[in-house]
Amino acid sequence: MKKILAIAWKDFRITYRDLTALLVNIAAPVAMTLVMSFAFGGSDTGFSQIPVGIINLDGGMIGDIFINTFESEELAAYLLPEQYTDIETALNALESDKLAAVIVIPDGMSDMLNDPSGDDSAPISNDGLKIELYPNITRPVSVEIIESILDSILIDLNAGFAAGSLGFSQLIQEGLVTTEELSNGLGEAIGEKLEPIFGDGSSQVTLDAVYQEADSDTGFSWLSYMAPSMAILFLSFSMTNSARSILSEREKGTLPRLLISPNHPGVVLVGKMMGTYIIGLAQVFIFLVISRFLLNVHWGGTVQVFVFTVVMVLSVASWGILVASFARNSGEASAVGTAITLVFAALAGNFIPRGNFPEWLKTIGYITPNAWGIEGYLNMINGATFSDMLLPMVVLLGMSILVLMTAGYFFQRQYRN
Amino acid sequence: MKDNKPQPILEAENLVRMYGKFPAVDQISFAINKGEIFSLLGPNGAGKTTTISMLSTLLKPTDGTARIAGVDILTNSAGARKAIGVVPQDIALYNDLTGLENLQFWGSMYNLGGKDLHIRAEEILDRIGLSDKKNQRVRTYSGGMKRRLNIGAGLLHRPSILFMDEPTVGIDPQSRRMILDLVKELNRDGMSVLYTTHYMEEAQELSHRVGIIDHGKMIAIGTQDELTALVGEDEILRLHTLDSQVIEQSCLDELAALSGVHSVSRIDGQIILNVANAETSIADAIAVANTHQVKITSVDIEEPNLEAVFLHLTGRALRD
Repeated sequence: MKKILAIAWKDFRITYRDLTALLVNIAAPVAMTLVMSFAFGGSDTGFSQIPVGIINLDGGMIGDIFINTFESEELAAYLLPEQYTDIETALNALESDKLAAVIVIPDGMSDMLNDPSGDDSAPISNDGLKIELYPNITRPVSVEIIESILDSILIDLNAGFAAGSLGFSQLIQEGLVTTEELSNGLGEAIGEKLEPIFGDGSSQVTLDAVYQEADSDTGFSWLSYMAPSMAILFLSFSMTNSARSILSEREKGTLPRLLISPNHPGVVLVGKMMGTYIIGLAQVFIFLVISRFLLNVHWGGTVQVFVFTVVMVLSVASWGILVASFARNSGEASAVGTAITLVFAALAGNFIPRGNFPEWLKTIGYITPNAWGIEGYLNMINGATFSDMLLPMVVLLGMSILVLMTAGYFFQRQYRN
Repeated sequence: MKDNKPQPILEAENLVRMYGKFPAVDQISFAINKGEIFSLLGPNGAGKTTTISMLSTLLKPTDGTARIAGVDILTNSAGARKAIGVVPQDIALYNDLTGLENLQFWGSMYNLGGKDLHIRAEEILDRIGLSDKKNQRVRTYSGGMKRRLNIGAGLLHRPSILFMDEPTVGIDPQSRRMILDLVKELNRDGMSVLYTTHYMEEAQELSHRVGIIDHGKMIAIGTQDELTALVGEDEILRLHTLDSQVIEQSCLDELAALSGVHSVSRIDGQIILNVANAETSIADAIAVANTHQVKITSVDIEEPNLEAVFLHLTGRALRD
């Protein structure tokens, strides 16, 4: 074990004495996170309409307004609304990434606007009746767009209330406004129509929405998406570079010298792998710390972030080691490693969130450690607990074992004399 | 009663290494005694490095075996590796580590550690004359300094025998002298050395015994006196020409046909003749050269040496 650590520590020292490696491993992902956040922070769409699930438990006028708005022709080019009857089904669709968000309009929302007592001076409570929005964390910009639409409806409706102090039901009953008009005019017209009728009435009802991600202490941002994406992308590059050092050592003659020391060749190989691994660990942990304080990325609970990182780096490193195991020279390893890194990055959504990919492409993405890594970090950013992270950790660990065993086979074939 | 019989530290028996159907090393056998410097002398591609690679357990012999310090390299390769120190032909060091860090790393690969390793590394640095440069990264070293450190890394674990594979290739004369002196010094301290080279002068200066290797075969083995005796009383007549001089084969054929000339070869700007009597052959040789418009700039007459032996045995010069 001492010799394995000696080889690993030697590789670590050599790597981090190199200014280029420091720039590539540490500075570049931070810079790229910032650049990508600024460059693409406005959209994760552009490929398809945003699928949004709506559960109208209200069944009254307010529910109709929301349904009509989300299904309006003006938004048809951007939204793909689908009505659900129960929350569980909708949340399952959200979980499986079929929806960008789920909006729940609670039962009794419209009734709230009708004062059953007929006493207009008494305040009407809407406690506990709030429109809920469940976001898909892998589609940050889609969620932001839906939130904006929701906010817009709420603001306009509330403006209408402020102007009129009247239940919408009365407006409709009196034939002054239709639900279609309410939805299309988004409430502003309501206020205008109510003003001359109801004069100086004061607001008694306020509609509000609850955004479920507010349960985590961070919320979601494009920066939070790009931080893990860039961390994993540059980790992939550095792992390929580091793993190919075994081929560089062969070319420079230090590997033969290691192999004629009185050690089993496996010690040398494991030492080299361990070196690659600790270089990757250092790279990611340094990035996590820098991004926390410099970019204000809240990665989530320390324990799960630590354990997940340990497993995730192993998985990414194993792919780099696999490339080194079958490449005939360091140049070939570099070329193949770069190609694999870029293909994995594209499949896994290192550049563009996978939420916008077709289903089949999303599924293919799961062969990469990148996809599991990005999703894992995003889940933790949004408050996932240690037990929530068990599945991705087990998958990444299993992938590492499989890939390292394959690499071991290729190494044995290549270095057997 | 003390047994004065030489004790072998290395015994190679019928070593063979095939690359496909090509025998890089073909049935080589030799032994090196304790405290002996043994040189494998041969041109590039003769099989010297392949032989050292097999003996150091880096390459598995296709056939044959060897024992180092009594340990069979096939059945106990790890045991054999403990007894050997290897100075590879390539400079096998880490450029981004300092000289001291390199030695400490290589020492740790041989089970050295802690204070012992540090002391040993300092000793080696002192011995190879790099103590004042020990904290500089190796990439800042000159070629000669790297060569010396390359040797130092092979000495850390006090091996019973040191394998040195062409350790003076591509370095300046001063560093070369330093390395040759170091090899002699190590040998005076009792270390056995297997030294490969294609420089006849080095083999001649260092070796107690020499094995001449060509095309993967050991074509002669013995002390220098024993080997030079193979060429009898021949002398070497070396005709120097301009480097740019074109020497036709017909000229060499005519020189070979002269009375008293046993063999002729050409290397760089020189024509080398093995002759029975240099003084009597010199005039005829120059006359033939003139006939072929070959301008002779100077002439040397040398006593029989290892180059003459190689020429005698193969019909070619060492650097052909």
